[in-house]
Formats: sequence, structure tokens, C-alpha cells
Amino acid sequence: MKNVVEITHLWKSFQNPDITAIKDLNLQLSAGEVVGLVGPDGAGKTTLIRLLLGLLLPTEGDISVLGLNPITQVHRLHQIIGYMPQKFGLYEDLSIEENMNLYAELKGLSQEERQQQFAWLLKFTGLAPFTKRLAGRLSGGMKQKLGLGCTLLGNPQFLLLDEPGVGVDPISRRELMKMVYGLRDKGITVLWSTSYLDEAEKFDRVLLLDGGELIFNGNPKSLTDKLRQRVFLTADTKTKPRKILRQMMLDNAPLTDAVISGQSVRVVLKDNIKTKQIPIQLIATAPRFEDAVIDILGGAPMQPSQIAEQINVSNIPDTVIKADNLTKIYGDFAAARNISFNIKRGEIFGLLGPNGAGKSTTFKMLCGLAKPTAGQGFILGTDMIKNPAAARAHLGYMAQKFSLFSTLSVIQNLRFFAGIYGLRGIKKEYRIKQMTEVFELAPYLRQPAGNLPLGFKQRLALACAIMHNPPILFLDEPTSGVDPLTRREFWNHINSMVEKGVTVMVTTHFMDEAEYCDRIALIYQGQAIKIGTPDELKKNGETMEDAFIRLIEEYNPEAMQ
Amino acid sequence: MRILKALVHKEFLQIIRDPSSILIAFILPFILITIFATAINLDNNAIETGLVIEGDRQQVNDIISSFDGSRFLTITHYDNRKHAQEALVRGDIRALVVLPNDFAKNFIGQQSAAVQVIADASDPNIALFTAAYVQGIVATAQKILIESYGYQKSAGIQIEQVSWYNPELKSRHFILPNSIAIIMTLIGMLLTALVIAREWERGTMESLLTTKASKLQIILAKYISYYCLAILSASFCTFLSVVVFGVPFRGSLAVYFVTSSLFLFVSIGMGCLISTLTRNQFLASVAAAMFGFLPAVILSGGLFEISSMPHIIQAATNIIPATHFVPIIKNLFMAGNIWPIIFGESFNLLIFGLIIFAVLYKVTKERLE
Repeated sequence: MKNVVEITHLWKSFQNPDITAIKDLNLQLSAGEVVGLVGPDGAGKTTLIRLLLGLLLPTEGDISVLGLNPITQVHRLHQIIGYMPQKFGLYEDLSIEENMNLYAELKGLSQEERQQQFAWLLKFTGLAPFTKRLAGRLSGGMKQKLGLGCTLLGNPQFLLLDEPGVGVDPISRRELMKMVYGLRDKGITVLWSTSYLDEAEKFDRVLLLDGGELIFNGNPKSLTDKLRQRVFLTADTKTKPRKILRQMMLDNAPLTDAVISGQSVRVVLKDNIKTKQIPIQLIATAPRFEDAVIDILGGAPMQPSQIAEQINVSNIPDTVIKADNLTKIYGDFAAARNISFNIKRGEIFGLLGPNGAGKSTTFKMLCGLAKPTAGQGFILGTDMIKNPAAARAHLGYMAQKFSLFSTLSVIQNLRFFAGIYGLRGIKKEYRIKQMTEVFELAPYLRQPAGNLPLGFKQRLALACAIMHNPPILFLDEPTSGVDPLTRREFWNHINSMVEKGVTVMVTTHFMDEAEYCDRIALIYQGQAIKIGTPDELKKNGETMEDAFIRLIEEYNPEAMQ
Repeated sequence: MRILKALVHKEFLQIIRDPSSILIAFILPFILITIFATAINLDNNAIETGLVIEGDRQQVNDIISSFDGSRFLTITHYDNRKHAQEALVRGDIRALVVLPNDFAKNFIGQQSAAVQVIADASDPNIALFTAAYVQGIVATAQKILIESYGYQKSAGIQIEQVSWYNPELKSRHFILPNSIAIIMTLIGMLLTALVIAREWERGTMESLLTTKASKLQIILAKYISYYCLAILSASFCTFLSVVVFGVPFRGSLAVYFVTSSLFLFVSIGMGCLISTLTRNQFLASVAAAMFGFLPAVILSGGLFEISSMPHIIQAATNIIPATHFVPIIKNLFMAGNIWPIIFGESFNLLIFGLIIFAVLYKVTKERLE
């Protein structure tokens, strides 16, 4: 049988900004395959999908999709292809039924075909009871299913899904994966783009893009298997893992990767290094696809962060943040209900949960951006509601999407944030100089912040947040959309600050990132359904994601139907 | 055809579900029409006016009572010019009428009788109106004099003002039709300026482009659905003006419908074009206000007379579509079917509409680049 996708020597460049998104790509996909397309942000995943759809034109090279040329036969191609864009392509003010009707018409389905396919799709997606509900009122997981349903209308032979799992909780992501694998039995070929490496692990075949180049093409297991005998957990669970990690970095241990995983440090040894060469006791563990990706990308940065040397936190009480029955009600919807916890000095506390679970609401109440309907919040003993300005002076805040001024240069951003934190004169210049050195921003100082590479944007945002030396750091989805290497570098800085006594509260929907926290509050449907250390949440060798799903099922058995 | 129907159906559902489109199409026009009809009033009823009689009052009693009885002027009497001028400076009165010493003699003696009018010209209308009212009062008084005492009017030019089409000179009668033209620009452009940008922002355009729908169908669906909404809104405005606010309508409704449709064809096209070029709802709405709404208000001749603008600006007004619709709508309301204007300007509108449609078709891409 002919290949579904045939690509030879494909190049794609853009002007303004001048980048080459795809570099000399060769690729074949055969019928009935489910293929994962992975890579860091800006690797060229979306560009590749759009090239296959004929939405972009190649600069050089040939593409054939289902035997058709996406440049000249784009209309015929669109009749036999299904595409789900990043935002699902749904009309929010139309109901489920109306969205499906629209796409059925746009794909030219006959009345008979439509009835037949609707019946099957509604059953397949489990959306049958909600057909009259507006798409805008659906949860992320349901939107995703409806998006897939609309994409499947007209029985496409080839399905392209662009990051369907972004911001959707792991339960829904697993369901979607199951649904898509069900399609394979119908002979449908699927190309699924994702930035979740744990998701990618489950595909038969993975395409790993980096900087527009295809650096791996094959079964993820074959890549992961290469790391057998190289991945270990530290045995010492008494010492704080952050301390162990920092010591290993200072010792210049021969590692390609080291991340905190609950009470241990998960390390990946460089090739041909024996455990004997590491002075710490190690226990072998199974490698993961992410380990392999980090390895193939050249290893994580292993230098200890310089930032800690500048940090000086003293004279603060033991309980730094206190949430006491925080409740926020919007209309008849409780975004957060009776959330209580204490965060101690020098602790990383994580709020984990799917989008819309209430973690951002809790976060906003604790930094004074939202007024609780009931309950209290304290920062260093100051009542957040009665005296938000005083409480906020102790905080460094890094908002989602970094909230930098994208048209101002790096140095202008630094000066602005120094100014609003009340730094003046020599002190201000000194701190700006420090931040520039620690985060290696010197070459970029005159560039507009909006043009920086993502990793540098993140560094700058962190620099701006800690300019005034705050003892507490609030991080709202700090690594969303950031590739694993940059994420490691970021956590390296955070860890070293925490070592010096800084307290961190962080929200995340990355399960592996939750492992970096000392304690986690699992937020689901507005409630903290479980609070504990990562190891307390996980039972006998579960991954964080397994634990997450189990805890939600225990809490609400219907969640998984 | 099926695809177009499905797309139009989708647009209608979105319009109905989106409270802001109903707000822009019906509530906003209602407020605007009401404001234009009641609050903005270019008529000057009852100007505060001082009156000074320098000669013998007895002889001009009739004229004094004419002044006192005028419904256009509110008269305050002053003993002498000095006091009256002080009152004018203080702002107690807006204008001052002086009947000089020799007025009575000249008036009765049928000489040319001079009357002095001093007005606060910081509002030029006041000066003009006062002069006209004074002239009217004096002329009427003179006429009565002639009729009742049998004086013979000597030769001399007498100006008789006749106002056609708007005999009562009610500003509402010309403001409302013009404001309908402005409202139609607003609805046609503002609503459509948002919709294509919204499809891009929400990522639905990308989905549409991978279906059987062609760009012509996508564009036509926007035109058709927003035309229906806008024509409903225009009918609503017309109803308000004619039935509620009593503005006369003297032309043919069929002509009105056809020419309005042509004008909407132009406005909707401009809105879609802005939306397609910006792909951003915020930019699009600002652009629609800057390039659509403001020129339609200021330069279309609706509220401000084009012939009193500098020549360069006069020439520039021609490139604003509303400039070509205002004469049509103004005449249909106040005068009737003036065919040369209807045909001439309709032709201009048609050309505008077709050019915009062609440009829109050209800049709408079936790909993302």
C-alpha cells in the first residue's frame, strides 16, 4: 500500500521574523499508524502539520499526502483529511449539535451519512446527553472530544491533531488517547502533536523535532531502551534531595540529567559511566522517554545556579503562608471551597490540578488579586484581605505567560520592575547588574523582550520577580509551553533559592513538575482533595499521573465513567 | 449552495446568541436616534435678547409688542445702550437690538429704517438667527402698518424667505435621515469588522479553511447575514424617525430599500476588509471607528455642510462612501425621488462596493500565508 505521507527534502522558511522552521525533512507515514509528533516549543510541529494540510506552502521539497499534492490539490485533500487545530476550531456560541451540523454541511455529508455518523460519534465521544449545550460551556476535556468528533465527520482517512491535550486534565487526555487508538482499527492514520513527553511515550512511533530538524523517528521504546542501566534514583531519602542535587552539580558529577523526584534525585548517567564513579548510593530504575529526549538533545544544564549567592533571607517566621478555609464563589459556581494549608519556610508548595480546577483562583486569593467569599489568607502573619499591600511587599510574583512588556527592551523591563519594587539609585543599578550577570542577559539587554527566545523570556521574568529580594515567590504556571531543557534550568534557579530559605508556591499542570515540590495540594473541582508529599500521594511505584488519576477516581468515581 | 446556507445559518446563530450584536444593531441605534432627535437641536428657540428704544416709545408701540410677543426671542428691556451692552458682556443676554432715534420717523415715513443688532457671535448661529428674526419682526410690523393705516409702501427690495422641504426649519428633519446614514455605516462596519478577526483569534478560520468551504462562500456568508441584520436595524431606525419622531418621508420606499442595500454592501465590505487585514478584534474596532464612523460623521455632509469646507477636504469627502449616500437619503426623506441624484450616487456606491469586494476577495487567503 502507498504511504499516507511522503516528504522529501522539505524546507520551510519564514520572513519576519526570519527563521527556518523546517530543515531538510524526509518522512514517510504508512496507513493505519498512530504517530506522535513531539519537540520543544518552536521546534516546527505546527508548521509541519500546516504544510501537510496545504495551509502553508513549502519553500523547497516535495510533499504528498494520501497521494495528493497539498499545493495543487488542496480541495480534494481537504475532503479526505481531518484536522483539529490547537484551539479545537469550535464555535463557542453554538451548541454541540449545531457545531456538528455545521461541520457535517461543510464536509458535504448527505442526510443519511450524517445521521449514521452522528449516532456513532455521539456514542464514541460520550457527548450524547449534552447535545444542546453550548460549546463554550463545556469543560476542556469535552471540548477536546467535540473537536475530535467534528474532525472525524466525513470519515477522514488521515487525522492531524495539533496539541489536543494542552491544558486538559490527564483523565481526559487518556480517554482521548484511547479513542484515537480505537480509530486505528478503522484504518485511519493519525499524526498527533504534543509537548507532553509522557504522552508521547505511548505512541508506536514518535517523530522528535528540534529546531526544525527531525532528530528521532521511531518507536519511543527503542530510544528509551538505550538508557537501560543509566537511570537511577538516589538511595538516601533522609537528606533533602535538593541538597543532594546541588552537591552533585558542585561535584561536577558525570550526568546528562538530574531532577528531583519526591524524596530522591533521579539521575541519568553519561554514556559509559559506571555507578561506582558516583560517590552516592544509587538504585536502578526504569528509564522514561523524557530521559531519552534530554539525552538526545545533549543533556540538561548541570551548573549550579549563581542566584543563591545573592539571596539573603533571614528573620522570618516558620509558617510563611497560611490559607484558612479559602472559598471563592462566582454566582452559583464555587471556584474554590474551604481550601486550607500552611506553607513553611523554605518549602516548595505545589498546587496541582487540571485547568479550571480552582488552582489559579486559590493562587489569586493568596496574592490579593481576588477577594475570597469566605476564609482568610495570611502572608508572614499579615492578613491578605485586610492589608494586601503590606502582604504583597514580601512577594515576588511571576505570572502566567511571563507578563513582560514585549516592546520594551530587556534593560527597560529590568529598570521598570526595579522601579515598581521601590529600588532606587545605586541599589537599583546594583541589583540590575546582578540579575544581568546571574541570568546571563548581557547579550540581550538592548533587544525587545518580545523577541527573546522562550528560555530567556523566562529568565527575564524570573529576574524581574526577584529583583527586590523577596522571601516568598509565587509562580503561576511558570513553565507552561517551555521545553524540558529550559524547564530544568528554571528549576535549578528555584531550587537554589529555596536552599537559602526562600519559600515558593507554584501552580502547574505538569505531573512530573509536581515531583519537584516538597508538598502538593491536589486541587479538583474547587477542592483540595489531597495534600501531602509527592511520595505520600504516589502508591507503590505509581507515576504522578497514575496517582493523580487514582486520587480523583477515589474522590469522584464518576469522573472516569 | 448547501455550504453557503450552512455558513449563513451559523452566522445567524452566532448573532442571536451574542448579546453585543443585538446591542450594536438595535439598542445603540435607538439611543443614537433618540439623542439626535431630542438632545441635538440646531434650532435656536427663544434667544435672550435685550431691546433698547432710543426714540419715542409711543410711536413704535406696535413693534415693541411684536418683539415682546416673538416666540423666537425672549426680550428684556433696557433704558439705554450702555446698560444693555453691559448685560451682553455679562452674558445675561445673547443679543441686543437697538431701535435708534430716527427709527420711528423713518419707519413711518417709509424711509429705509436702520435697526442695530449686536450679537454674541461666539456662537455664529445666534447672530444670524437674531438678525433674521429681527428682520422678520420689523417686516411684519411694517406690513401690518401698511394694511391697517393704508400707508403706501414705497419701492424698495423686500426679502421674503421661503423654506422649501423643511418649511418649519426643524433641524430634526435633516439630522435624523443623516444619522440613519451614520448608523448604517456604524452597524455595517463595526459588526463585520469584529467577525472575521474573531474567527482568526479563536482558531475557527483555520478549521474552516480545511473544509469544503471556499473563500468566496466564507465571505458571502458574512455579507448575507450581516446585511440582514443591518437592514433590520436600518428599518428600525427609519420607523423610529418617521413614526415616533414625525420626520416626513417623501420618496419611494422601494428606492430607499435598494439604495440602502447598496450602501450596506459598501459598509459591510469595508468592515470585512478591515477585519481581514487586521485579524485582531481590538485593532479592527479601532480601525472601523477611525476610517468608518468618524469620517461618516464629520465629512459625509450629514451634519456639516461640505460646501463650506476647504477645497482639498471637499475633494477628499468624495472617497467616503457615506458622502454618496447622504444626498440620497436626505432627498428621499425631505424632497422625494430626485432621480439624477439617486442614479448618480447609486452608481458611485455600486462602484465602491464592487472595488471593496474585489480587494477583499484578493486579500482573503485560503492559506495561512
